[in-house]
Amino acid sequence: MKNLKLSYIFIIALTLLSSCQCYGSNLKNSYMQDLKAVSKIDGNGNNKLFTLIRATSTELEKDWSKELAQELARVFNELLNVNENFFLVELIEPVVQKRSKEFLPILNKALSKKNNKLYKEMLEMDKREEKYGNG
Amino acid sequence: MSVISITAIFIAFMIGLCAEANLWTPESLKESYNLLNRNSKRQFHKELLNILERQSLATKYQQRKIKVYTSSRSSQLLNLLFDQAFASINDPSIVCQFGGWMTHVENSECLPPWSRSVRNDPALEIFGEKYRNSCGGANLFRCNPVIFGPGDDDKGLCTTTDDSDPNFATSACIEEFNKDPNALQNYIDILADDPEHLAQYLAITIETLRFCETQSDPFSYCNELSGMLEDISSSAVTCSSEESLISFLPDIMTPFNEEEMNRITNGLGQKAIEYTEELEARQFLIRDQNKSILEQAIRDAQADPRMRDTITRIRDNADECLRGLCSGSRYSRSKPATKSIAKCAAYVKHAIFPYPSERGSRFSEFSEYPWGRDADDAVEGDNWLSDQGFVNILDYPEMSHLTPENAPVGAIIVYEKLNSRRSTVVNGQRRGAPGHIEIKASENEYISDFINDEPTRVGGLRRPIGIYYQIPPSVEAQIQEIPEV
Repeated sequence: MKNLKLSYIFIIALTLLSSCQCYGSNLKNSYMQDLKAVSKIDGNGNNKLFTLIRATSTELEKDWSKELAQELARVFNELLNVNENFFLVELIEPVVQKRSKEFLPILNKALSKKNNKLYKEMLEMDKREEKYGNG
Repeated sequence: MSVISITAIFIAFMIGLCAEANLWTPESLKESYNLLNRNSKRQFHKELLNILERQSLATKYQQRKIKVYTSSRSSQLLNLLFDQAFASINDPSIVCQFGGWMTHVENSECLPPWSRSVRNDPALEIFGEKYRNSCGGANLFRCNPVIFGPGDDDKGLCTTTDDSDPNFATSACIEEFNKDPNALQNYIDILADDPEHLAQYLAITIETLRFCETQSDPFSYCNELSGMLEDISSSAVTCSSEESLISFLPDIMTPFNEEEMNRITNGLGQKAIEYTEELEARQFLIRDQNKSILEQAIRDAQADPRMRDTITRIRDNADECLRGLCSGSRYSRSKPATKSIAKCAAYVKHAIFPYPSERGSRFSEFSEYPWGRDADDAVEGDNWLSDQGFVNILDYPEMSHLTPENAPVGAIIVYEKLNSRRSTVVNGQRRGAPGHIEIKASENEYISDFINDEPTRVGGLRRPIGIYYQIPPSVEAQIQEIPEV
């Protein structure tokens, strides 16, 4: 009887754990799918795209995935092609700060030469604004 | 009960709920309810009370804790369950009384009023002050002054009794109170002059009557106390100014006590509901009037040539490097109009208050440019905007529906930055780091030191905290205060 109870508890725990994992990977799949759909960015991009980039970056900060990181870096490069505003660096800040060792090589590889230089300038400007304000 | 059984009940319950969701009638509910065992009924009742409270909080009464059920669904539910609703003395919704103090039942016993859980329970605040002043000795009990009057020291009568027994304590208080033949009349006079006190008194009265009525074997004091309470409250209500009392009654009404309330207040319970409904109607009317006044003020601001000049200036400036503001970037004289140089607040200030030498008419009568170039940032915008007659329209509840997206053209929108450890204090409120400030120049044009075709929310990293328009003080003076209960 005791063994039976234990096995029931084990099955429930397993079910709960797998549902959490499914949730996590579902999220990743969803971000991956959305990012893959971005080939050419219209205008300067939009808040919807910015939110997707930020959410992906936060997800990668928590749970690393090389494939998703590559896709994020690709889309970020596309974004810098059409929008040079410094504050966009904040969108990928979580993964850059928490997973710099894994993510920065991927980002450097994905950014074009021009965008690599631009990214560094943007970082500088973002730091300056944080420190001195925008008045 | 094993984990499996609990899980099974839960799953069955959830499946049952889903399946029954569309078949929710009084008949089916009653049938389902009758199938529950005693414990489940008790649990069900707890849930019902929680639901009713949450529902009542979602009404417009929420600020004053009024608990009246308003939908026909809940009254059907209540009617069906009313007989069973107070069947168990351990039900947490039951408020028993101990020497006039309202307390809870625990393990089938009425807790003493000095117990910590009673003194710390905010739900009991509608019955007035808690038991805080002892009489200073063993077997001395302080009777609740709200029921038995202030006594000699204004803190309540002291009586000698077995103070661990609610029955003895209450009976002793009644005896002590009745020792003075004038006590009853004196106390009625006190209550009649103090509507707030009277409202608390009525709350206790109603709850006590309800409690006594639910007992199959009532406590010994029930008849005597009920009679005394009804006498006092009916007389005091007759003496008291009806209007003042009504304003306090919504605080003590619950979904269950309307009948008792009407009985002891000669129908004031119904009047209290009408009073609250009238008040709500008045609140609605005033909100509506305030909204119209503010909307007109925004239209006037839009028609003001100063706003047009401001918009023209900020649009023209977006591709220029004003006053060396591009230093630190790769630009010197001009820049792309869609590219920010982290100087949004400076560009907005330049648009509103141009240097005398710059094109466009002056915004206001300033002898010189009033701020240093790097004086402050966007999030601190409130400091200088309100100094110059700009009003954050979001401070008015009537306009809190406005967002950068739907705000009328001409709005000056201030954002705080969320992803930063830095913070700023603006008007005594803690805000985030320098966020952003921009002017809505047209429906799809938000301009600061760059032109954006949508509000600069940066994917949720900037949160709007202010939407400003120049509103004259004469208009602000027309805004009426919303009356509260």
